[in-house]
Amino acid sequence: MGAIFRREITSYFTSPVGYVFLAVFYFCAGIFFWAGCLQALTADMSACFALMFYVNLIFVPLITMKLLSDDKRLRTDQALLTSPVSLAGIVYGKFFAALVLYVAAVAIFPVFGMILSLFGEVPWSTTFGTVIGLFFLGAAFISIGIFVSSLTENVVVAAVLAIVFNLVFLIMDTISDLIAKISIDNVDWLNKVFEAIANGIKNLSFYDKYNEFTTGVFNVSSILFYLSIVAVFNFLTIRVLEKRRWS
Amino acid sequence: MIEVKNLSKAYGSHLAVNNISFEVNDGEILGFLGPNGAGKSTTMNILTGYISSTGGEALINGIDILKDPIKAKKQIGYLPEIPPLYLDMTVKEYLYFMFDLKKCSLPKISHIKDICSLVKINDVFDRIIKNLSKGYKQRVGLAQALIGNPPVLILDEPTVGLDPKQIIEIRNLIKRLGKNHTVILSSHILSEVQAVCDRVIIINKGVIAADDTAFNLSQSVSNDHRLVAAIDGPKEEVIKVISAIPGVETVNVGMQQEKGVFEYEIEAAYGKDIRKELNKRISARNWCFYSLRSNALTLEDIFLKITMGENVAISNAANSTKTDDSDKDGDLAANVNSAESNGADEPSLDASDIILDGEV
Repeated sequence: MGAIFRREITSYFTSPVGYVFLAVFYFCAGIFFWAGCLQALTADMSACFALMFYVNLIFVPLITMKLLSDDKRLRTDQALLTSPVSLAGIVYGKFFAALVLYVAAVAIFPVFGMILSLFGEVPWSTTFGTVIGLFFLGAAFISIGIFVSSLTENVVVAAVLAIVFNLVFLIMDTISDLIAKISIDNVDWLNKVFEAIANGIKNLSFYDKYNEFTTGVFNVSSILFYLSIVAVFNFLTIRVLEKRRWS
Repeated sequence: MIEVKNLSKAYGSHLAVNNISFEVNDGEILGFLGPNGAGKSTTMNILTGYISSTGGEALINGIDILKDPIKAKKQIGYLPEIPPLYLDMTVKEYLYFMFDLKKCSLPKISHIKDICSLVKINDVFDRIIKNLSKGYKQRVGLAQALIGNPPVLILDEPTVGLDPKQIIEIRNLIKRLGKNHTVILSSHILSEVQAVCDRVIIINKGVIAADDTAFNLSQSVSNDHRLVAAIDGPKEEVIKVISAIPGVETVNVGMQQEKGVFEYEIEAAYGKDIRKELNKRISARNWCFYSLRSNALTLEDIFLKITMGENVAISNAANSTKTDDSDKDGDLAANVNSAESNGADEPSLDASDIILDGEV
């Protein structure tokens, strides 16, 4: 795992991928910071954080798209899979490499906070709470991205599919609302079923849980939710690699 | 030591490898020979744990590759058909990475230095792999397989893309490695297998078609005694004289080599050695031998015979190598001596690498 982790981290910074990702992330964060805090004359960064959800959704797939698809395309997976490393070691090595790059990106927010503290009172607990939320949200997006990357050997397909996956998790709320609105007269039990489905889907919403953080609520169950997403998708990725061996 | 028992691999209804069994002992170099798509790479991928078999088992030094993959993989150095290189790394970074990946306990820097001088990639050590030539990439792939000094080496077409000088170097290297490693190497270049391997397995359509030493293989397929002699003498009379030798069944006249010198293909009865008698009768008439050689099958003929079915006539297959053999028919004495030995034993095929891509 260590060797794969080190290789991927190095690879981010010997290719443009790492630099481009960080630049785009800092650029977007900077614009939101300027518009949401500096222009609005407030030290409350929640508006800036709320928009970061969409930046994550679109740009995290850029750091995960190559992780497994490129190995398959260049046949380097043959080196990985015939080495004395477990499949979990391969997947988590790559996962943590992407996560470290992501942490470097998110680390811009405490810097913003420090700039703001020169001009006013920064609500540090909310800010750090949201950064932690952002961290786990990113971890979930990364594991989804790696999973999608394991399905294809085309880098572009991996990126686009990952964005679509993330979008589906975004519009869970909308889907849930739509289902909840369905009501059929005189068939009470059916309405209850729809309601239950709507509630179930609502629980999967990424956006709701993240939004809570930006409003200053530090909900441990949301963190557990994101962690479960990480565990499930990393597990699925391992299964995909295992399945490829058997087919 | 590698043991393969009833190994099968099915892709849907297509059987890529069909119930094959063999063993490779320590210090043995086994050659896998077969046309493209015969199941060589599939078998190697199963042995190295890259894909799994659908039936049977493969043991590497007694460890089942499916039951204890991590322990088994530690025993193996694998060079796949396409070397698994990270193109964005330098050779140094890549080999260091593979060293860490394989969790070796040897001293890293000196061990990798040794390997680099073994496969001669010292001068590209700091270059990015993307920019290397095919031959260098292949050698980096080979270096990667040697990391950690694994007791078992599995090399899938190790000399592809190398120039003739490098091919000879790598073959010698493999031969040297074979002294204290178990080596399986696949190839569709017959001369390579002949030059390097102690034993040959011919795979065709997922089934083992033959498993023996190169020498025994050529003997088992051609037990009949065939000679090709170039004799300086009047054609008709020579045929008459040869036909008169007891045991001779047929005599065919081949092409004219020099003025008055014809090649005669002589087929004797099974197990009959007519060389002494032939020599006696030819010299009694003051005719002269320009060459005499055994027309036993080479590995190529055997290969064609086995993979294309028994209906390929032996003499046809043998004829196909005649042009190569004739260049070395210079010295009469040497050839009379070498006629003693079997055709497959001679290093005669280095110049005639036939690559079997369907049509030959």
